[in-house]
Amino acid sequence: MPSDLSDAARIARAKDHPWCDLGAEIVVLRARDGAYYRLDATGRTVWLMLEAPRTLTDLLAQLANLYEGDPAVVAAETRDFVGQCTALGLLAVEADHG
Amino acid sequence: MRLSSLASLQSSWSAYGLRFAQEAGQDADVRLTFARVPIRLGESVLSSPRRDVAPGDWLLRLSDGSRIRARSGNRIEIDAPPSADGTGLAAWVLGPATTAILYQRGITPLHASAVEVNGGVVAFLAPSGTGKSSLAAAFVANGAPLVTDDVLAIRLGHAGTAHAWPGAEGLRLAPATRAHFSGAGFTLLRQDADDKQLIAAPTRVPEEPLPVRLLVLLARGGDLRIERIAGLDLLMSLRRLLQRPSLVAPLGAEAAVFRVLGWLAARVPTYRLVRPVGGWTLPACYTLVKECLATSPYQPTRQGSLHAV
Repeated sequence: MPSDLSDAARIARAKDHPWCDLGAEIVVLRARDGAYYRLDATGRTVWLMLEAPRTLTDLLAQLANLYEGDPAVVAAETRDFVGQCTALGLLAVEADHG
Repeated sequence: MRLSSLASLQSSWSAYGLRFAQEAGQDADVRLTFARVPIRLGESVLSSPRRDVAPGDWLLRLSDGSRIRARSGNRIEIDAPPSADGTGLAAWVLGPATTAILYQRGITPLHASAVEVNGGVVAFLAPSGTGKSSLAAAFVANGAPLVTDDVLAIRLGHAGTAHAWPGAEGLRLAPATRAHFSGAGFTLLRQDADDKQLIAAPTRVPEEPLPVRLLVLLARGGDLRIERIAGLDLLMSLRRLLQRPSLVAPLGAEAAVFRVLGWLAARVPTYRLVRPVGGWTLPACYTLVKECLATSPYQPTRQGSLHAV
């Protein structure tokens, strides 16, 4: 993930990747090579929050309400997760043009 | 000159919700034709000395010069000399070529035998020789209609719910297993070269889709036990129990298969039944599965939680 990701950038699930919710985890199929990716409980929460595209600011605000702990740590871990998923092609980031 | 029909196959037959026919003029979802088949596919994703596979296309080359091609989900083409082994060709048609057709149509074929219990499918999944037909026979002997033997075809309906379709007639059993159920009304249909016997079950389900109620994955090695399996472990286990899994990606069926397996893993109660190697454990296995059925709530109309984004 680009560490310089703008808080206003919109994050969305990439198109055409089927996924299934197995309760404690989500598994996403990367369509282009058939690879399975497992998202743990926290990743599952983020994935479900991205039912519709939203900005990183929105995402972090909602996660801050959900998880106790240092907001800076939550933000850093979320950025890291979004970055990994973006690099894998599972999430897409639309740059902030504003 | 080339072969113009397969005498060891009927002119038409039904399996997996599809109508197959090898004569012109009959309504069919999948038609066998006897025509020129190329030696190779033009653009293959997978190519080996024996077969080529591309999205929607599958070609097999046999050592006697015969070739079988399954394409577009609706055609099986055979190019064989009149001297070709018709029985052998029929086996290739009913096995690998039909599997390729199922994948091409978005139907997921699993290594499983299955019976119907109270309107839902109870399926026993395992590689060949692990006892799935025997366990199915135990249920059939106790009055459960047979759904399928060896190939369980599953597809997602319009409501996103996975259903199983009945397979071809018959259950292949070892002679000792058939003898164990001698009073069950099994009728011998065929004696196979590997000593197994194809028997007709006293009752079969009608050719209609059925909801999947319970999956039992069979394994050998260890004390007899049954345990719940779920999550990624289950999803990957199901992936390994596909019929000819190496065909999935080259045929372009990965997404369709994932949707079916994901639906099953998310919604259907599943157990792993471990049996020791050797010994006669069939009655005990039957009892364990019956106990699971009694404790697994059956909710065939619930929506699945699989999504395409």
